[in-house]
Formats: sequence, structure tokens, C-alpha cells
Amino acid sequence: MLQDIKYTSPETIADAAALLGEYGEDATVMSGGQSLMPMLRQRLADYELLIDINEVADRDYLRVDDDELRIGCLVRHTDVANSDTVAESCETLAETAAEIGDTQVRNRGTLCGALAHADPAGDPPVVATALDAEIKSQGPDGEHTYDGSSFFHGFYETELGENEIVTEASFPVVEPPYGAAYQKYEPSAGAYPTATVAAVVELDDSVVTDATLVTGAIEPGPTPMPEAEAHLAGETPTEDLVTTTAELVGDGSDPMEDSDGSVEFKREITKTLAKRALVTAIDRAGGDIE
Amino acid sequence: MSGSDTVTIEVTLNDRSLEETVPARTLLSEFLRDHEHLTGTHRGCETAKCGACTVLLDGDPVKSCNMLAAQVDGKELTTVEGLMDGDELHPVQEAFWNEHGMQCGFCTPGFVVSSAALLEEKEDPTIPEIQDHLAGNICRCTGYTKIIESVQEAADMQQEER
Ligand SMILES: Cc1cc2nc3c(=O)[nH]c(=O)nc-3n(C[C@H](O)[C@H](O)[C@H](O)COP(=O)(O)OP(=O)(O)OC[C@H]3O[C@@H](n4cnc5c(N)ncnc54)[C@H](O)[C@@H]3O)c2cc1C
Ligand code: FES
Ligand code: FES
Repeated sequence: MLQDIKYTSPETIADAAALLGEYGEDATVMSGGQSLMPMLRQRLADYELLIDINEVADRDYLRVDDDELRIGCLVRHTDVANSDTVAESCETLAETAAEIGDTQVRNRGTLCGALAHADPAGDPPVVATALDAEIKSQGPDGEHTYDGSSFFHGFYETELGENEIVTEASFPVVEPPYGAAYQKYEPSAGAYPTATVAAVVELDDSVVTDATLVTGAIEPGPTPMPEAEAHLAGETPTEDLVTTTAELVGDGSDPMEDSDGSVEFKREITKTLAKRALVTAIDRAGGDIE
Repeated sequence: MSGSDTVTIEVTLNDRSLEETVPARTLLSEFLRDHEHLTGTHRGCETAKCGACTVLLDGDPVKSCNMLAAQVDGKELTTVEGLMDGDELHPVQEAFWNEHGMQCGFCTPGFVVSSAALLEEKEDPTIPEIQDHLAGNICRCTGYTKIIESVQEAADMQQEER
């Protein structure tokens, strides 16, 4: 049984934000409820008021405008996974969504909720960091925009101001000369990942001009790997370069040891994931590995 | 508007329209079992992990322990009790029976409604598609093989009917 709680389902984001402003820490927003409900059930969180935003109209859009894939805050993981628009404009995001949790979780959980929640083992935050998604929010004082690459601070902390609601996330359209990929290792089907790596590369005449490598789940939040990125930049991809870059990703990481694995195990699996992600990202950017 | 302790929900539950006022904190699984006495929807982990409480919300499988009853206002719900057509078992139910897709039966309602939803989407799912679709349902008895065979058998039965 759940603790006593008041419930409301406002029809606009503005009403929801105003209520959040009024109640402050005593209220919370619910979108998919896939993280919030278990927290409430386990008494890890306690609120006086639950503001369910699922009745807000026109927030389930998914469209490409000006080379940006824009995703409204009520778009579910299933919608992202099954959308042709996402498959064509940001394949990596569609693949990521398809591998989140299980069918039932994907049918309810939202992409924007996952970004706001910033679970250390969550998948969308890693991809949003690597692709530098733009995250829009609305609070009682108006709208705000954040860069995905600096939005996450680890352990459920984000740039999001108090009483703000994430209203949209937009991702760049990824096509050659850009390529992206996301790889994860999960201990069992439907479980949160133990380790993940996102890779984004830009190629110019088969030289890597820019590279982004971000690990997830092993540290408290998405973690960029600047040394590995620098190792790759300016080079022509070879089997050896990919391997040494992937090793730098693993060796440069600082994993937390827990029931999912030791530090050594997580570093090793991260290397494997980094290599797979890089190979795919380079291929998708239109490059060859010599 | 500032929220209330009780909510009135209008829902179509297994093809029957009903309206009821419940405490706002009522979980959907609680509503189904304790208010509607539809005890086919099982409560296992109650923390969104096992899938025993799966029901169909507008046709899509969701975990009813992980939603509030308030959230089904204006929607259509199907529980395992709603799958039968009169006295006739749903093909998935019949196939679980024929193929021994269950042992203790605790997980079965969740598997059955999830599988029924899969076969609405895909007439002839592959084994990996069945496995992927049912990853949110846990069974501690069968080892899953018989469950997968049941779903395949149900797919065959449905295709023959068509
Ligand atoms: C069994 C299970 C397995 C899972 N496996 C994975 C997995 O492998 N990978 C993964 O990434 N996730 C996984 N999840 C989590 C899932 O992706 C959630 O959907 C997601 O973390 C939160 O999204 P939500 O829409 O459900 O948010 P909610 O549960 O509704 O909210 C979560 C938190 O974010 C806040 N919030 C929600 N929406 C907004 C918003 N628009 N603006 C501001 N704040 C908001 C809420 O106030 C709350 O604090 C799993 C969940 C379960 C139950
Ligand atoms: S009881 Fe709902 S998932 Fe286990
Ligand atoms: S038959 Fe016993 S848990 Fe599945």
C-alpha cells in the first residue's frame, strides 16, 4: 500500500509548474512513473502531492525540425524505439530506447523522465551527454534550455532548477560524416546495465576530426573520456587505433565496485563496449577501419 | 486545482464501463484486486520487477503495481479475466493449458496478457521476439521453454482461425 498522497493531473505544463512552485519539496512530477512509483513503494521518497503530467495535451510529438529531432516530454521509450523518424534521424537513440528495461517499462517510461531522473545506470543520460542533446524545461519563472553534455552531475543530480519540468529533449540528426553508437552490458534481460559506452565521431576524408566517448553506469553519472577522445582525434582509424582508444576508455574510468562486478571487471567490459561502439560509430560515419 | 485525497475514475474494465471513487494513493493492482475483486492480476514483487501484475492499458502491457488507479481514468483496461470470449478460452490461455506453459501458475496471468498483446502486434513472432517481449515477466518454475512453446502454439492457433 502506498502512503497517503494527494493527486492531481493538470492539463497544462504551466499549471503543473505553478503547483510545483507552490508546494516546493512537498510535491513531485510524475511522467512514466517507472522510477518514481518504485521509490514511493519502497518509501525512498515521500510527498504530499503527486502532479501527474500525463493528461497534458500535445506533448507526445516526435519530429525533425531544422536538423533537430525534437521529442516531447510524454513520448515513451516504446514510441522512440518504434518511430521511423527516430530510426532515420538518430538510429542510436532508437536502439537505446528499444533496450531499456522491459516491454512494460518501455510502454510507460518517458525519455524526458529518464533524463530528469538521471539514474546513474540510466541509458538515455549517456546518449544525451554524448550527442549533446538540448534539454528544455519550464518552471514557474518561465522556460530554460540546457546542454546535454553538461546537464548531468551524477547520482540523480542535474542542472535542472527546483520546480522545473523537462518539456522537451532534442537530438542532432546524425548522418555521415557523423556517426554514433551505444553499447551496453546488462547482467540479465530487462535489468539495468552494468556498464555502457556511447561513441560519436566526425570524419573528414577518412580522418577522425572529432570524437566523443562517454561511459555510463560504472560511475555516478555519464562520464566523458577526454584522453581517449584526444587519442583518436586527427587520426585515420585503424584496428590498432580503435583498440588502444578503447583501452584508454577502460583504463581512464573509475568504476564503483558493487554486486554487479569488481573494478577490474567493469574496466575490462568497458573496453570491450568502447571498441564495439567505436567500430559501429566509424562505420556509420562512412569510414573504414584499416 | 491543488490535488485531492480521493479520485473518481471512469474506466472500461474488461468491456464493462464503471465509475468508482477511491483514495488517491490506490495502486492499480490494488484497485483491481481489492475493489473489483479481479484476483487474476497477481501481486508478486510490487516494485515493478516481476510482471505478475501485468494488465493491458489501451492494449499495451503495463505493470499495475507501478501505476495509480487514478491514471486509468478514461482508458480501457483488460485483465486476464477479460481475455475469454464468453465461455471460450483465449488462444493464448488454451495454448498455455495444452503446452503446460505453467507450473505453480503464479506468474501465468502476467505472461498470458503480455503474450496476448504480442500476438495482436505480431502474428508470427520469432523466438527472440517472444523472449524480448516477455523479458518483463519472471517465472520461477518453468524455465521458460514451455512458455515460449505455448506462445508459438497460440500464434499457430490464431493463424489457423484467420
Ligand atoms: C524494472 C525496470 C527496469 C528498468 N530498466 C532501465 C534500464 O535498463 N535503463 C534505463 O535507462 N532505465 C530503466 N528503467 C527506468 C525507466 O527508464 C524510467 O522510465 C525512467 O528512469 C524514468 O522515466 P519516467 O518517465 O518513468 O519517470 P518517473 O518515474 O515518472 O519520474 C522519475 C523522476 O523524475 C522526475 N520527472 C519525471 N518526469 C519529469 C519531467 N518531465 N520533468 C522533471 N522531472 C521529471 C520525477 O519527479 C521523479 O523524481 C527501469 C525501470 C524499471 C521499473
Ligand atoms: S507485482 Fe508488479 S511487477 Fe511484480
Ligand atoms: S509457473 Fe510458477 S512462477 Fe511461473
